[in-house]
Amino acid sequence: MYDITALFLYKFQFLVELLAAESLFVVHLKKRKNFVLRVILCLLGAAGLTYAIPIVNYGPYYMSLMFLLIFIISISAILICFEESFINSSFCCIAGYAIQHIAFSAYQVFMIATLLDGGNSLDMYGSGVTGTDFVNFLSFYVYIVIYIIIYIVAYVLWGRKIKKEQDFYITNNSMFVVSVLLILLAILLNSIMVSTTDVKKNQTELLVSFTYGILSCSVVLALMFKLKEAKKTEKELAVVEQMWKEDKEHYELAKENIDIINIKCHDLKHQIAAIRHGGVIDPNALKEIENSVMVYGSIIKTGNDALDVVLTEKSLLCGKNKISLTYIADGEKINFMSASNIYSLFGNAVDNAIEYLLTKEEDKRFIRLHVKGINNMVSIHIENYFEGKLSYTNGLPVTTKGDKNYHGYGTFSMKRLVESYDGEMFVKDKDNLFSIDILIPIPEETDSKR
Amino acid sequence: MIRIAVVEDSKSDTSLFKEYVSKYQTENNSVFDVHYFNSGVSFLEEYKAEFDIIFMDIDLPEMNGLDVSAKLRERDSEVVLIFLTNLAKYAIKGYSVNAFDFVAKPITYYSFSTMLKRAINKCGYKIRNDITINNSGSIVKINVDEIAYIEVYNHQLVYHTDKGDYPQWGSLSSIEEEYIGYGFSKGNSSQLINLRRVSSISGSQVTLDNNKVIYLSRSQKKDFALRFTEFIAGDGK
Repeated sequence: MYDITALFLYKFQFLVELLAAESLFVVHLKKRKNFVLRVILCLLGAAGLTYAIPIVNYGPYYMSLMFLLIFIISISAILICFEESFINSSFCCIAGYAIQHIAFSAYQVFMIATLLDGGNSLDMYGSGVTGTDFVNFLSFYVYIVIYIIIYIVAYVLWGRKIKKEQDFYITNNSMFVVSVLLILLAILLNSIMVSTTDVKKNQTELLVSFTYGILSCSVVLALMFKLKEAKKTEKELAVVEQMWKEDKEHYELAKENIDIINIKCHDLKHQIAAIRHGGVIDPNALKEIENSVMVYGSIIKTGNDALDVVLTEKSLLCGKNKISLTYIADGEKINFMSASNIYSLFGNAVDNAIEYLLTKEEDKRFIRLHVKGINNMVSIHIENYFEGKLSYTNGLPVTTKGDKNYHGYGTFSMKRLVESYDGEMFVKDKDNLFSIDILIPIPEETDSKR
Repeated sequence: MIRIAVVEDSKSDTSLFKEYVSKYQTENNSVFDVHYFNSGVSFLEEYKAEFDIIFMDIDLPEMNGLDVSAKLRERDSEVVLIFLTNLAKYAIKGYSVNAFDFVAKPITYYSFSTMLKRAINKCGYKIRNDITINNSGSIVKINVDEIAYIEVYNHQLVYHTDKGDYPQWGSLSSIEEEYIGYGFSKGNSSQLINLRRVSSISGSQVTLDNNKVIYLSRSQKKDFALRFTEFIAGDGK
């Protein structure tokens, strides 16, 4: 059972190939403490366990079981070395196994097609004692080159997409299970094929089988990575929806407050007028009261209630923080947008600007905002003083600060919102200005969406 | 040289403005021709459409800045108009006189310099000169505003203008750069669109103010809207 047969040696070759392929996918994951020590112990442990797996027979079913056991050993090793959930580790390991199988199949396709080593490329599954197919220097060279190329391509295409700072979720668990089963099935069918055929007699059948294996594993890999990415957007959307919901609640509250202030101011003005006619109190004192009330009384009138609310609220906030917030706004032009969307869009933009400007000297604190109708479109431009240079992904800035999530979602949420009105949004920093430009076509029936 | 008019009655604000202009000129290694007026009435009396940028106070004696601007717009629809004001409430309506923006008083150097920079970019698109087109032997003068779009058709360039369509020999690539400078942008491989004439952009469909519909190519779709916003805001180039 532990004789030095070709298969016995191949067990270890397989373990190395598999671990190398898996490391393509886990290399960016979060490492556990004492990582190097863990890796060394895991390698020793994995080699020991692999050694311990007996070779009971050389049939395809037992052989597949044996490879599955080695695969499970490798998953355990990954779990011991990296701080990642079981499902995510399995995802990486399955991807690794698929890549190992693709590389193996590609090598076999090449060897079987060329018969470079006289048709002995599948001998490692056998019970022969002559060792592996490495006897032939040329075939060893081909082996190394093919594996390296495929592993590099796999890393570039998929491996580097798994990053530790990214949330890493699998959307559809049942689809993931199906993917895993498909890969395992491809591998099982392959071992059956290999053990029942002869390289020289069944050259075509083997070529077809291996090529099919490469294709099916590639397709399943692509599918798996789609599942992973889809989840990311789904999660982002959920955050954005939550933000919109909060904005909506906030808007209702702000509107209520401002309505109350408006009513109070109105009452006060009448009271002051009444007192003045009575002529009892010093008119200068009255004027003063009136002026202080005017601050609220002259509440912004842009022609759009929601814009009035958000600008009033933000103006008060800016005033408190010595930020000059100026605007030219033809509010009527955005009457087709919902109140909570307007609140969310402008609120987000101004809040981001305020947060940034608070880190700057007072004479640099300004925000300028425009809402202008241009023929059948509305153009919204928001800018604030800015120093430095941002980096962008997909046209949206990635802040280098720790609170990356908030800012990222802020502009992401705005962009989604603008796109829901068939508009476009552009963000840039240039000439000491950070600016957001939005362009939305005005729907033909302006009042329909209100 | 960029010509700037400043309509401002307060002496202290005027001297602050002068200080900022000279600081800007030094920093940016540029020279402006700046004219100061202390009332809107005197400004209008002398006005010939010769300025590129006008800074206008709103709280002016005799006639306020908004009314002055309304009169100004009757004579000059292109000039870049910027309000200087502490009366933010009036400036909100600045869109009614097609104001480019406004700077709140007290003016800080940073708000002034960033605004001037954008205004200069914006007036880079302006063109007062007419373009001459050879119409089968006779010369036709056309203002850039009158061209809706230029199109390649049968190895010829066709200028679609308010006065009619004029075919010319030439290629789009030979005039592209010049016209992008005038505020045109490519809609697809065969059409250059005048951004002033765009009425709406929706997905890949651009409607011009003469109701002509142009379809953007996949590669120009994103860029076109971006060029348009830059043209409007003066932050391109």
